[in-house]
Amino acid sequence: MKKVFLVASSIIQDDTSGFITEYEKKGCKIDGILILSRQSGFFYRLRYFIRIIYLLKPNKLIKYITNFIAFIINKTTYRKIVSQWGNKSLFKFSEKKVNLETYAKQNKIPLYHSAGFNPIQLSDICKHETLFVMYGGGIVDDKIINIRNAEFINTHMGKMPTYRGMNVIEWAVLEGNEPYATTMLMNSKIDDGEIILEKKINIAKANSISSLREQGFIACYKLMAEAICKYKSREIGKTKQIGRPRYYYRMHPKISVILEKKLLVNK
Amino acid sequence: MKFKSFKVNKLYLFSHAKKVLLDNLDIIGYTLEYEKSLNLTMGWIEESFNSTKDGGSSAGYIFSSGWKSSYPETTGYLIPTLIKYFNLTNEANWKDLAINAADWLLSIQDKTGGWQGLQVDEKCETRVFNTAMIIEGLKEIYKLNNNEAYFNSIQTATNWIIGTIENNLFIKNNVVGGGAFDSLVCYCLLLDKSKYNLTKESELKVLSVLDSICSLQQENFSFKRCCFEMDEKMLLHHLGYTLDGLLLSSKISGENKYYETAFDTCSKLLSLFEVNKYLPALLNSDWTYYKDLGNKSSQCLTGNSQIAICFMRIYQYQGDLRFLNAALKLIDIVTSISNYKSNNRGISYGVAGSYPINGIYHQYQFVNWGAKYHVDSILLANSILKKLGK
Repeated sequence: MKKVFLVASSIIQDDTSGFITEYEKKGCKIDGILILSRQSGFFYRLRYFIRIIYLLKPNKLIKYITNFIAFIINKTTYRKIVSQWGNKSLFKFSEKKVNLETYAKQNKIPLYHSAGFNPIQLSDICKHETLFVMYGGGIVDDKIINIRNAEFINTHMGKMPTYRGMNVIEWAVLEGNEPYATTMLMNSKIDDGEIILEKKINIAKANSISSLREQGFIACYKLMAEAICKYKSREIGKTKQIGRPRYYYRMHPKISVILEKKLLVNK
Repeated sequence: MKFKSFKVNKLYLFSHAKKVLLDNLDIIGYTLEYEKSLNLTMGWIEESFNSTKDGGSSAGYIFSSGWKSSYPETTGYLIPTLIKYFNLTNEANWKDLAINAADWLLSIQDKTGGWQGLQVDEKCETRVFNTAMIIEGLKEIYKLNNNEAYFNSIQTATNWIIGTIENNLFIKNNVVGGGAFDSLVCYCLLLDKSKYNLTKESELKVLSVLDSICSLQQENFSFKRCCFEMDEKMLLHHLGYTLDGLLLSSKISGENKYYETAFDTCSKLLSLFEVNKYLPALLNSDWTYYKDLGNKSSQCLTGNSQIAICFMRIYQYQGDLRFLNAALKLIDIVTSISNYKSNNRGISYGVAGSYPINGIYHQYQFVNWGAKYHVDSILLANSILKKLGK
C-alpha cells in the first residue's frame, strides 16, 4: 500500500477540508501533511522583516508610486487592466473546515512546514512509495518529480487533453460540452500527466458562473478522494493522455457575460 | 533620453511630456465601453481629415512637427472603415468624407496606374502595396455609387500591379514589395474579381504569389520578409498584414491552404500573448521578444488591432472561442491605451504607433492606420458578440 501525504499551502483550506472529509468517508487516512509556506517558528517571524526589505526594493516603490499617481489622476495601470481578465471563484464553502495542525495532532501523523519542496526532506519521506496529494506547491520541477518513490497527484476541472489551462469548466459549458474533472499524475509540464481517474461533473444546479465553479470545486475534491483510495491500493492504474491538447486561458469579461446568460436560460 | 530627442520631439510641451511620462510609468486609461472608444477614435480620424483640407487623411500627428500631410495608402483603406461607420450611425458626414477621399485619390493617381508611396508632400515612386490598399477603398466606394471613374481607376491600377509580378512569383521587390505582407495585395486584387473582369491568367498569377508567400513560413511558423529593414525579425504590423491577407484570400478563393498557413502562425501568437499578456512590436524569428527599450519590448498598437482582427476571423471560420477571447483582450489593451484625453487634438484619443510612445514603431506619433484598425477591430468584435449573445 502506498503512503499518502497531503500538500497544502496553508493550515486551513477549503479544498483540503473537502478532500479530508471525503477521504475519511471512504475509510481512508492520510499518512502525513506537508505545508509549503513559512507558517510558524523562526521563519514565520523572519518573513515580516524580509517583507519590509522587499517592499522597499526600488521597483516595488516605483510600483506603489505609479499606482498612487494613477489613482490621483483617475487612471489605471497596464498591470491592472490585464489582471481584470478571468473569473473569480466567488462562492462560500459550506462544508466543515479542517485545521491541518489540529488534524495532524489528533491523528498523530507528521506535519512538516517548508518554504518549498525540499529534495532532502522528500527523499526522507519517500523511503516507501508515497503519493503527494497536491493542494499547494504549484508547478513542480523535474528535480522534484524524479525523486524516487514519489508521485504527485492533482485534480483538474477539465477533460484531458482537450481542456487544459484556465477557466476550463466555463469554457466546456460555453462550448456546449460536458464538463469533467480529471485526477492525474503531475509532470513538469502544465496539465500533461497521466490520467488516473476522470468523471463527469454534474452541473444541473448551476445557474451562474459562481455556482458552476462551486459544483466543479466539489466534484474535484470528491474525485481526488476516490482516485487516491483506488490508486494507492492499486485498484486502478494510469493511462496516457490521448489526443491533441488544447490550452485555454482566462475568460474575458464580455464572454463571461454571455456564459452567465446561457446558464440562466438553461436553468 | 538624449537632449536632441527632447528638443526634436518638443518634449518641453506639456501635452507631449505628459504622454511620454505616463506611458513610461505604465499608467493608462480605464477600458472604455467599445461603443465609446469607437466614437472617440472616429473623432480623431475626422480630425485627421480636417487637418489636411485636400480630402485625404493625415498620416498622423507627430510630436516634432504636428499633423502630417495626407497619406494616399491609408486614406485608401480608411474608406471601407468610414463606410462601415456610416452604415452604423447613418450620419452623412462619414459618407461624404469617404467620397471626398476617393475623389482626391483619383486626382493624384499616377499615369502608370499606381499611387505614390509615403505622404503627398514627399517625393516617392509608385508602390504596389500602397496602390493595392487604395484599390480596396475604391472598390468599396464603387459599390456605393457605381461611378465609372472609380471603375476605370481600379482597372488601370490592377493591371499595373499584375505587371509587377516577377518570374519567381513574388511581387517586384522594391522598398515595400516582395514581402510576406503582399498577401494583402493579393486579397485586394481578388476582391470582387468577376465584377472587375480579372482574367483567369491574372487570377492564377495572384494565387501563385500567395503560394510563394506561404513558402516564406518557417518550420516554427514564423515568417521571413516580414519587416522592411530586418529580415530576421517580424514586425507585428507586417505580420498582421500577412496573416489578414492570407485569411481573407482563403475566404474569397476557397483555398484552405492559405487559411491553414495563417492559422498555425496565429496559434503561436495566441499562446505568446496569453502567457506574456502582450505582444511586442518586433519578434525574433525564434519567437523571442525583441527588446527595443533596453530590458523591455514596446508594443505596436496597430499590430495588436490587426492580430485581434485575424483572431476574430479564425473564430468566425471555425468557432474557436479561444481566439475570440484573446482578440477581446487585445482590443481592451488598445482601448485603454487610446483612452487618453488631451488639449492637443492630435493626441486626444488617437492611437499611437508604439506603447510606450517612445517605442520602436513610429516613435512619438499617432498614426491614422492605427486608428483605422482599432475601429475595424471594434466593429468586428461588436458584430460577433451580438451574434454570440443571441
